[in-house]
Amino acid sequence: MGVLLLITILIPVATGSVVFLFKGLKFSHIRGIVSLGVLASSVLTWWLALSGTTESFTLVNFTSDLSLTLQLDGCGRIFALISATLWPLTALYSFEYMKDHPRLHLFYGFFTASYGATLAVAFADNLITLYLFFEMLTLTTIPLVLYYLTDEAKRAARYYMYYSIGGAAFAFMGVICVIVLGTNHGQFVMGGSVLMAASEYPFLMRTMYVLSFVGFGVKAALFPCSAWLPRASVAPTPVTALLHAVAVVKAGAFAVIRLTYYGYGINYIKDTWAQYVVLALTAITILYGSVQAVRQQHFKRRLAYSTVANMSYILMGVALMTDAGLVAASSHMVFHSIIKIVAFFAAGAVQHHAKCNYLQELDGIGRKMPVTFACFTVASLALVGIPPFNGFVSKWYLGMAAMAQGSTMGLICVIVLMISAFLTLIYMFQAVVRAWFYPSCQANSQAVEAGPAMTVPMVVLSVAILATGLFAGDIMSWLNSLLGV
Amino acid sequence: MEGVLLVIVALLPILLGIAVYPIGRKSQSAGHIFTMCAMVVQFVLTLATVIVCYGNMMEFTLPWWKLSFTMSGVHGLGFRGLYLLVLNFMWLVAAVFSPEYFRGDTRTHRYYSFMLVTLGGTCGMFLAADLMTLFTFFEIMSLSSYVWVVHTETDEARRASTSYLAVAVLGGMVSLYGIMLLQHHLGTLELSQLASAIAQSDISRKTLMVAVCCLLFGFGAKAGMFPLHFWLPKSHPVAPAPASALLSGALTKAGLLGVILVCFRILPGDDVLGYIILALGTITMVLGAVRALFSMNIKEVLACSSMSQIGFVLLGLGMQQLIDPAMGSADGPVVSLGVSGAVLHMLNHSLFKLILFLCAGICYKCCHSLDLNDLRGFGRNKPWLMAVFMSGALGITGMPLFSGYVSKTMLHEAIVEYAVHSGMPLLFKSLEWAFLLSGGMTVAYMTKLFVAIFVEKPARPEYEENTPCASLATQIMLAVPALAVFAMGALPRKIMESLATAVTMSSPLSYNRRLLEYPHYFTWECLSGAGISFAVGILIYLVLIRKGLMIKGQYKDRWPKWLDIENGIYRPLIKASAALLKFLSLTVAKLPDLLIKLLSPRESHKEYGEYVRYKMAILVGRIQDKLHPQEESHVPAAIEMEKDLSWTHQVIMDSFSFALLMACIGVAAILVYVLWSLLKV
Repeated sequence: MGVLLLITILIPVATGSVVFLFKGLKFSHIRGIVSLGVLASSVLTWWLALSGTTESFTLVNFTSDLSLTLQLDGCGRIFALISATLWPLTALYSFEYMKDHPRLHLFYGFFTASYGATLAVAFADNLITLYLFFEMLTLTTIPLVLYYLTDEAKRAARYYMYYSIGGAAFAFMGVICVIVLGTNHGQFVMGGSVLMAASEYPFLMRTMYVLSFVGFGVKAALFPCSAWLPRASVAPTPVTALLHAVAVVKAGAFAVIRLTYYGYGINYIKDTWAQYVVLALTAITILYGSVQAVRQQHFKRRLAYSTVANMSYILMGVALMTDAGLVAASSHMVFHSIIKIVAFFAAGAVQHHAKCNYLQELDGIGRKMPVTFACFTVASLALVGIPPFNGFVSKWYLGMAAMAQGSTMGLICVIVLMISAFLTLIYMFQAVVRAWFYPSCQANSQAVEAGPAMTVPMVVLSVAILATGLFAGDIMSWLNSLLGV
Repeated sequence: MEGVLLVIVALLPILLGIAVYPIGRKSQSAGHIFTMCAMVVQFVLTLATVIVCYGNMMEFTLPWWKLSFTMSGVHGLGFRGLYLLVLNFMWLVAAVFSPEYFRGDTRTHRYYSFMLVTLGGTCGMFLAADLMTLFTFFEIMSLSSYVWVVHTETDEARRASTSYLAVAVLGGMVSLYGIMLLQHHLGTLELSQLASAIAQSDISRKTLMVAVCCLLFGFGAKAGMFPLHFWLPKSHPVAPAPASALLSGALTKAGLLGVILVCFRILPGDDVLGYIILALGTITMVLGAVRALFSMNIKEVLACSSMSQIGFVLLGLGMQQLIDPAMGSADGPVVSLGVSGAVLHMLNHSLFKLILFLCAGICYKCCHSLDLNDLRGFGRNKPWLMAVFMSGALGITGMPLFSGYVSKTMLHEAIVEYAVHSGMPLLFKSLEWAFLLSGGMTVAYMTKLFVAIFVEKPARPEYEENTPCASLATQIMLAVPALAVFAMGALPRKIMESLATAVTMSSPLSYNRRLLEYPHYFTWECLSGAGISFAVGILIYLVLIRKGLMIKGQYKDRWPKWLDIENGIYRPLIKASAALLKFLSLTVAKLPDLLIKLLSPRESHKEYGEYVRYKMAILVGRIQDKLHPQEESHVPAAIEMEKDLSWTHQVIMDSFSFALLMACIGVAAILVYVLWSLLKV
């Protein structure tokens, strides 16, 4: 049973390697191989997650107490299921988007391999395993950012690399701290494992915690390390949509959850300066991301900044350090993934079929691409947090969690959420209103509706946005049971 | 199990609305027929629901999506039931009028679709049993009605609709904050339990007031309450006429519903809240009326008038809040005059504005103008239009025998009675005069409209022709509310008072005491109020409008432009705060990079590095030359490449990301050193 975890990870990696190494493959072959690999792995992940297996599988024992171990627990299951659901849909989307692109072996090789790395992050059973696969994810996604090989892409890739490696260093310090001083050698236990050490060296532990929070937070575009994410939107849209709105950034948030709740434990950090620092950082990032998004006129970059803000919604939930905060954070992790991927898919469809990149070029495009923009409108409504769409649910729970926190900081968090929601309205609806209610402009005169490979994932996920909003009660109790709170 | 009807009434229009879009896109007329059928079905369903509910309670909670609905018919036609009927009737009339208004428009499918969705949202709001359901449908209603306002897609419409959307969402956010506060402190959002939950919980008075003010902000914005009224006179005129009728007649009432719930379900009889609502209501009432006097756009006059009438209703609600605690000492009869007047005036206003806006729509359809100067004399030869308009106008001005008189008299009596018992007779005396003056201004601006359209010499010769101005269906449908206004006013005891009694006794108002005494409408005491208003109104009309606002027979809008609260305060405020936020966020964003720049005085290194790199580039070029002697020199290309590279380098090396990388290398070096020293030991 446990070995299945390893197989699930290896399938995409193997598929990716095949595609990458056999350069001469035709597009139709690549398509077949990639869909097979991704689907197989997704089905396995779903099966594993639903079967509720808790067996672990140890790959390597470094020392007697340090090992590479895979296991699927509740928290990991959430992240694994998000990836397993969205990857096949994105692959389908990319088949239309990438059709006429060069160097497809490179794209699909790394695109598929990064799936393996993402799943491995979800399956990791201890901090050192998590850290290892986290870095692998970085390495497999750098070529994807670099894909177009333009100056801008090269610069973006370098930014991405430097930030990631720099963040990794800080994260590593925190990881070592937990492994050396904790009682559990970094294995994940709800409630953390550094109780003893924390009472002995409180300041050291808290400093280490803040450093590693920021270190892992680099991936989740936490201020001050958020500059890489908007730049990375030069990558092809399937990458931006899946990796830079879901997999990579969510892996960052996921690692922070692991670190906070399963590594350090919230008891020694809650209500100390460490919590206030990280909460303040997330609040700043939310405002910063939203304001920057309003400023951007480039469609994809606008969405990327919105991701910066929304990732910090999740981190804010984590930093509240209550059970309610954790549940709210994971619900936003799930919901934001769906919302943002739809928004990026729409942006990509516009880029591909109308050759438009800027907001001003969207005038009246809704009439030419009705399905795409209907989906985008749904995503916008959800992102602003309008009931009954799912964005409202996570916003509500985040707000309630922040309020229950009780301190002034909690109230400030709620107000920040509200301001950000209003800014979200501005930056999302400028696009929506232009698309539907402005007279058509010259720039998008060539626009045609996207093909089925693009619209099907969008429509499916838009329906999911509504459905997860309607069945929010069930989903929240499911998340509660998974997280064991 | 009949409760499921409530859910159907709220959700069916939304589903039908989604269905009508693709149908109407294929064929406009099919869309219209579908909408009409949908409206009729919805109306019949509503009627059935109200009948089934008569005499008992209905409750329903959706099992998966936690929405709960309720409706009470225990005391006869309750508030929710009454308004449900009114809403569906208004929508039906608007739908009947729509096809002739939109003739030639190719986007009616969009309009119809969102019309149905908005109906669902509004019905859902009036049926909501908890604040969460209320909020959900409030948002659905606010956002879907946005499409009405922007429908014509002119610059003006877009500007107005932007304000509309901003106010709607901002109001939504703020009231959501209030709802969160209540949920956090009370643990329940059910309307019927809020008051008792407040009594049991340890929520502080301050928190409660914050929550209530947040709710009031959100709902007041929708109702058009000062100081959040500014969107109303702008968005109603730009919307298509049937939509304006609904915006003004129905959607503002949804805002008022929120205010009513706050008053009666959260803080019943709280006099601080009472004074707040009273003050804001009075300002809204007077301001709207003054603004309406000046305007010369027929729909703008009507929109400002809506604002003013909402002020009347708010005044009644505020009075009710004040009266309640005084009840112990005072004699009984005044108990629910404030609320009866307010609720009846809400109902009346819905009918009046339905009539008046649709009449304005008929004018616009025939003349393609809303300017009073262009509309002069349009209705001279149109007796039906004149009669219908007249009934709306007489109703809204409070002419005896028309329904407006009854509700206004109740409101007036509430003020007069309370003035005696309150400690501040002077305050309430001036309130009474503000009330009468607003009534007078109502008379003045309605006279202005009436005289301009139906009395003055025609502005265009074709107005003299006696062509039918509306289809038969519209004529019949519009005659219904016109007759109702008259019937209700002529038989106040039979219709209006029994309605008021039933409504005030059933939820969500729930006044469990029966009202002992309503005013005697046709006595000198009551009639004198209307008399004063009419006298003042005629005076204002003759002096201000005929002398001050008409130049050479042309109406002129002399309202100073700088008094616009939106352009004067809100937009600059938002722009300024946006600019501030942008500045702050940019500063914050550049801070790390700036820090790195300040901390690294490596100018000399840079020059040295540049020199070395330059030499290296030349070297590389020469080596390539050696390798490929037959090709031309590679040196220039190498130098170019070096320049490119160094520029990118420069950008990145001056950034925070590079510093992070350096830090990482430093950490790695420390690690190696520690390992090395450990090994040595």
